[in-house]
Amino acid sequence: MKLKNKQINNTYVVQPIFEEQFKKNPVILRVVLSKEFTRIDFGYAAPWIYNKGGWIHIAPETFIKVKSNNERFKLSKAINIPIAPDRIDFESTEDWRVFSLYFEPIPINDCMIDIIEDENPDENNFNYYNIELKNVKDVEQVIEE
Amino acid sequence: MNLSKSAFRRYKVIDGLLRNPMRKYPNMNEIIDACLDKLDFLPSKETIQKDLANMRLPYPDGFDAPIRYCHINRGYEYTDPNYSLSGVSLRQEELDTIRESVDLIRSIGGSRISHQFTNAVEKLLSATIEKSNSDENRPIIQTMIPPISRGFEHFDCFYKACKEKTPVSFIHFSYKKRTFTNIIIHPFLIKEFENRWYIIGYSENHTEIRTFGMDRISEPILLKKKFHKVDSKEMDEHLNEIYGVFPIPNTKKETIKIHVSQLGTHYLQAYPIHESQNIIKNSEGTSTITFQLIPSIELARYFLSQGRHVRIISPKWFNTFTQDLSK
Repeated sequence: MKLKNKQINNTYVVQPIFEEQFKKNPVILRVVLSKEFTRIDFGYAAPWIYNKGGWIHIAPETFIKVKSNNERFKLSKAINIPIAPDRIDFESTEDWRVFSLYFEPIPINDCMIDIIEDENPDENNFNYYNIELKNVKDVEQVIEE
Repeated sequence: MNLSKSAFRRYKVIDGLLRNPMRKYPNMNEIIDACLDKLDFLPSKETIQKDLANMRLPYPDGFDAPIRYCHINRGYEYTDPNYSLSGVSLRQEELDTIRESVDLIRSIGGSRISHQFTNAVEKLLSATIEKSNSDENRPIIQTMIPPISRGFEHFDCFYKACKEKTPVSFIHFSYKKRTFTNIIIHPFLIKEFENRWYIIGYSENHTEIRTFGMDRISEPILLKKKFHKVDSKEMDEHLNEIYGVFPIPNTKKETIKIHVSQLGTHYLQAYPIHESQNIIKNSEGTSTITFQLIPSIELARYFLSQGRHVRIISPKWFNTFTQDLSK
């Protein structure tokens, strides 16, 4: 079967840039932009500070804020991470997990965004600020039919 | 196509009836009776209707079978009299050859082959071979079939990417560093070594050819992007001139010479580890063996695993490297 490209709904794969990119856990690895959704891929390595690596989940109120106009885009789906109050318990401090959060589609333009799990965060919340999405239309995803 | 083996077998029965020149236009009851007779199973009318519809579906969902109901003769027929489910009519000895080949593929394939290939084999089996459950058909070749490993589900994606020359973005987790990286690779080779699967290609992140274990790869995405072609000589090196998958950085192909004990010589003589292996036996049964290879981590580990039976003579640096691995 040949790979075919859908021209109607282009999907773009973006490498996000922000200062604390590799200091955070989970780390933001990739952003996928389409007219139907915005997907953000994360990697999480269970930390040694918690017994057996602790646990994770994502708050249902999590949203993306586009900095230029403060518009908010709600979380619509979470893949490979439970939505609170559910949670996944790790078995050891060596465990790891890649997960994706799907949001309402943000405009497909270069922009700066925040990802906010809690507006009054504590150290356990997954909040990310000033993530730059640059040259967003440079790399397109091949959509298979 | 998601078809069960029992459906395949009914299709074969239906195909046989539709191609029988002695009794044309089989009707629904005759098809049901034939299934009962040949498969020892009484299908419902709805099942057969569904089977006929599925057989008519175009490839790859069905078999493109030109089946129609003839109202004059009150039965089913192929509108193309030359059509057969298997495409070609085969003699018994040809079927036997295919049966043996498929058994062999099954045996060496197991979980190593992709889902698509497994489907294709099942389709071939259904179209050409009537299977029975007798002891006669029990496989007589068995190889080790490891359980499906993590990341193997990406096999088809990377196979397509290599074939169609399409770059892939994926998330890589390093077991040692415990870090994640978003890698963009221009893959050209999927390699299996000791039941582990690897992707080899030009990594944009590293600006050189790199190897990634499939088990550490998540969420591959095919990219619409210009493909970085790798020099064919470099590709050949990764295909033929490495034992294993991870070459030691900044090394080239060279002569690797080892001294092997009597026992070790027996095994390496019986099971050469590379086609460049050249054994010079000493009178007491020990040997000096040379290889023309790019030194690799796996080769060093292999020599280490042989303990006192293998001693690296040259290059000296490779001996030091190997000894350091054991510390």
